[in-house]
Amino acid sequence: MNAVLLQAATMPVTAPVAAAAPATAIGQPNTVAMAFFFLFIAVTLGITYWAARRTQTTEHFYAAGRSISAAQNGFALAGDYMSAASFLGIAGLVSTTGFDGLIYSTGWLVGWPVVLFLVAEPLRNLGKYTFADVVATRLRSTPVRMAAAYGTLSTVIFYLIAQMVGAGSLIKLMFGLSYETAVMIVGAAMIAYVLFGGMLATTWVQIVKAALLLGGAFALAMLVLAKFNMNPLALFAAASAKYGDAVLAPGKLVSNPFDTISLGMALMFGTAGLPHILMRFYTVPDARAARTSVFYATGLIGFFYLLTFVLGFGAMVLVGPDAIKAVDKGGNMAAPLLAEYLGGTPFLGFIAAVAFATILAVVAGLTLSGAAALSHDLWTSVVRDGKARPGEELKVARGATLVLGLIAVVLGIVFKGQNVAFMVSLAFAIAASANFPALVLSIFWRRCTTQGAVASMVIGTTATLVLIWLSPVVQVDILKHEGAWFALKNPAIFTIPGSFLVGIVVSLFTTDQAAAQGYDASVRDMIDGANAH
Amino acid sequence: MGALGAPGWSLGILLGAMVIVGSWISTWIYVRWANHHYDARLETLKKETAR
Repeated sequence: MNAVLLQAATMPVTAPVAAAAPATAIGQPNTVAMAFFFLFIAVTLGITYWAARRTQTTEHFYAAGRSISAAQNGFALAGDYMSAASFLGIAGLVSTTGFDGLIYSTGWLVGWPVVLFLVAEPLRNLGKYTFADVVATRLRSTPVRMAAAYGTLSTVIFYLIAQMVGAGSLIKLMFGLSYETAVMIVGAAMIAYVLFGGMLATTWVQIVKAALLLGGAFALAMLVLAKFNMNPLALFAAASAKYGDAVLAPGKLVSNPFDTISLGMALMFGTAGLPHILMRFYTVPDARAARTSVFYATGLIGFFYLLTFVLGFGAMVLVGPDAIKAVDKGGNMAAPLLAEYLGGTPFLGFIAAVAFATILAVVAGLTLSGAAALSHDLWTSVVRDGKARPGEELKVARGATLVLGLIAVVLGIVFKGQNVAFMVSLAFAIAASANFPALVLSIFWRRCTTQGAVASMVIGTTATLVLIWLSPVVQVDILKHEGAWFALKNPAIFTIPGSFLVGIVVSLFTTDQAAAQGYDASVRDMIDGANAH
Repeated sequence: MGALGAPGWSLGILLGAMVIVGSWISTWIYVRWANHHYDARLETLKKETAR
């Protein structure tokens, strides 16, 4: 069995369009792509300008004045979630490794019911801005906020790196710029959006982008299916005829079952710990809108992930894994290459502009939540003890945006050549280990103490970061060492249960009377809404 | 998890698609239940406890 798989994996594959590959327009400046590109940037800057005139208060900057409707928020959640990882990364993994890439499609979607059943409504009803506000509701504010900022910033930075890697490869291939220049341009554009527009602009950019991405991916999938009598089964059959039955079954990408389960756990539980997703629940007026918006988001995202089945195998059959890897080592350019094969340079331009818009929008949302963690949680609540002058927090948020943008650019250059879906799975591992256990314990468990929540967040984040550092990705791929200390590429299988365990054990060994006394009031708020009484 | 009868079908692909559809259905059922029954019960309960 293993021998067969191994043979399938190493089998020399003759790419069907290998002869056509040198004819690709990728790598040369492309007029149509540039036109779409600048059109999108002009439109979103217009939105940003419009929103900037309405962003005068902190409430507007972080929560868009709680004026977003359920359907709008559903689109914005989907926009925030469907990043370069979903579009470029999954298509790349499926086209180069077959079925295993789809673990990302399904794992990421299952995160949404988890969000809906466990955290969406309590979050909205507590009426807070950031994840730390929620955990700090009945626990001691200062230590919780410091620990939460640590976890949130680690998550945001890893997520940003992935987007930068995707954007860098994309701009490099489209405009013929160097990867480093491309990453710097993306960094500058995203800083501009967040600095001037805040949450309202970011929300509208997400909505426009979600519609563009769904439309673009749908058109691409239809063009693929048109080559196979509109029958996805014919496409899958063509893939297995060309590259062996193994591409339709698990085993090529994640040969170690522990690695597979670990990856799946990170994808499923990470969503409920993502600061930029959690932040969106504070932008709607009530709990009903919060839950309905998750339903919209699940529908949109699920539809998109079903399309990735077709895009991935389409790129595998029509473009070929070798041609894709030749253009980008991480496989990230599979979808743009597929677009060029099917619709020529104009369609390539359109898809590339959509992918870039996707990245820009996600990056803006992420930066905003990172800036909120720094300015709202650390500066105002910890440094200023909740007594910041009006306008001061907004200034710190804007400074934080600048700093985060710079860090993302530098690390984006370091992680060049990685698959973006894989990079995002590391951000999910951090979110699932740092934020998710503390959030669940503080919401649902009366006995949870400040010390327990803080220990869970700090140890969860640190353990995940250390295990990522010791994993083959950093040790072998980046530092070029012979082997790695830790065998798994994704540490979630150890760090999520570990983080829960630390939170529970430390809570049981400590007492926090204020936390226990505040539990009833906080449960009432979570069910009934904090502003209702 | 390999081929399943018809060419192109595999158990893996089938289960993958079913997970996505299953997520849709479960969120839909929950949102319907919460909007129709849960919210109404909560309102009644709030009125009773207010008295």
